[in-house]
Amino acid sequence: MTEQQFIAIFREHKQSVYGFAWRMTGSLTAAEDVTQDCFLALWRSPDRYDPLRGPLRPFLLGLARNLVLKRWRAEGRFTALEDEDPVALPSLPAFENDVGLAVADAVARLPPAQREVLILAEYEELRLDEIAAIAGVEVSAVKSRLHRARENLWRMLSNLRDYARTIE
Amino acid sequence: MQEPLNDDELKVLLRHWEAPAAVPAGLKRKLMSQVRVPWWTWLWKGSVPVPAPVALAVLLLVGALFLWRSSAPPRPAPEAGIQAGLDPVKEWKPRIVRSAYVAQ
Repeated sequence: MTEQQFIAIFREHKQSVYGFAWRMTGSLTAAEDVTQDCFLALWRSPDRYDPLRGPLRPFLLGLARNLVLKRWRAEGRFTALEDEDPVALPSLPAFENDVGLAVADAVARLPPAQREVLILAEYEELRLDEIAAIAGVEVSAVKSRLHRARENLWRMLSNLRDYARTIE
Repeated sequence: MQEPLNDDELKVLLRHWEAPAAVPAGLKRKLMSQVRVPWWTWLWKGSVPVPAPVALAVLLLVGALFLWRSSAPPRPAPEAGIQAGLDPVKEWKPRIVRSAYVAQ
């Protein structure tokens, strides 16, 4: 990979990787570090990406996802990703002035396994099989986690139902 | 108990959580400073991946060479004359040549 090719890849995918890392970590600094490490990993080991196995963007998001998990482990706040059981989450008060903040808070409360599939599906708009490859699970497990994530979000954001109907 | 949101309503709400519009301005500069590393920094930061069997074989070879060198008998030191290319004189018979010149 030449430097020019690398710069072109960075320009094309930086926003996606950065946005994903930011949503996963909730931190601008962590998102910047993860994005940098993600592209450095690609530069140092370009052979790890096999174009025959799919597009580059899911591969980069997979790298970013692993870097986020590595950070969580290093910070000692790693939560096992197997926590798929639906959890009883309280409804959040409606944030009339900042719906985005309420959504961010609700997503952050999701178990990590549900959070990552929800972000990859809803915000990065990846296919289920691409998410399964990133998370290292079967497509059926992705569907199950996504369903539980939506259920939990429904419960937490139900106070914003009226608001959602007015702008739909 | 309130009625739960449906999928469309949930999607509407999720759209409100927007990621930062742009990556930090210094990110590309920081990244490229690590990409454009001078070649000579490899001399103390670089690494050479070597398969374990190869590394083991090299270690064994070096160890065997060391043992062989240390266990070999020392070579006898050559005698000084021979070393210099001159054989020692067995019988010294000097021949005196008298000169016809006699000092007054």
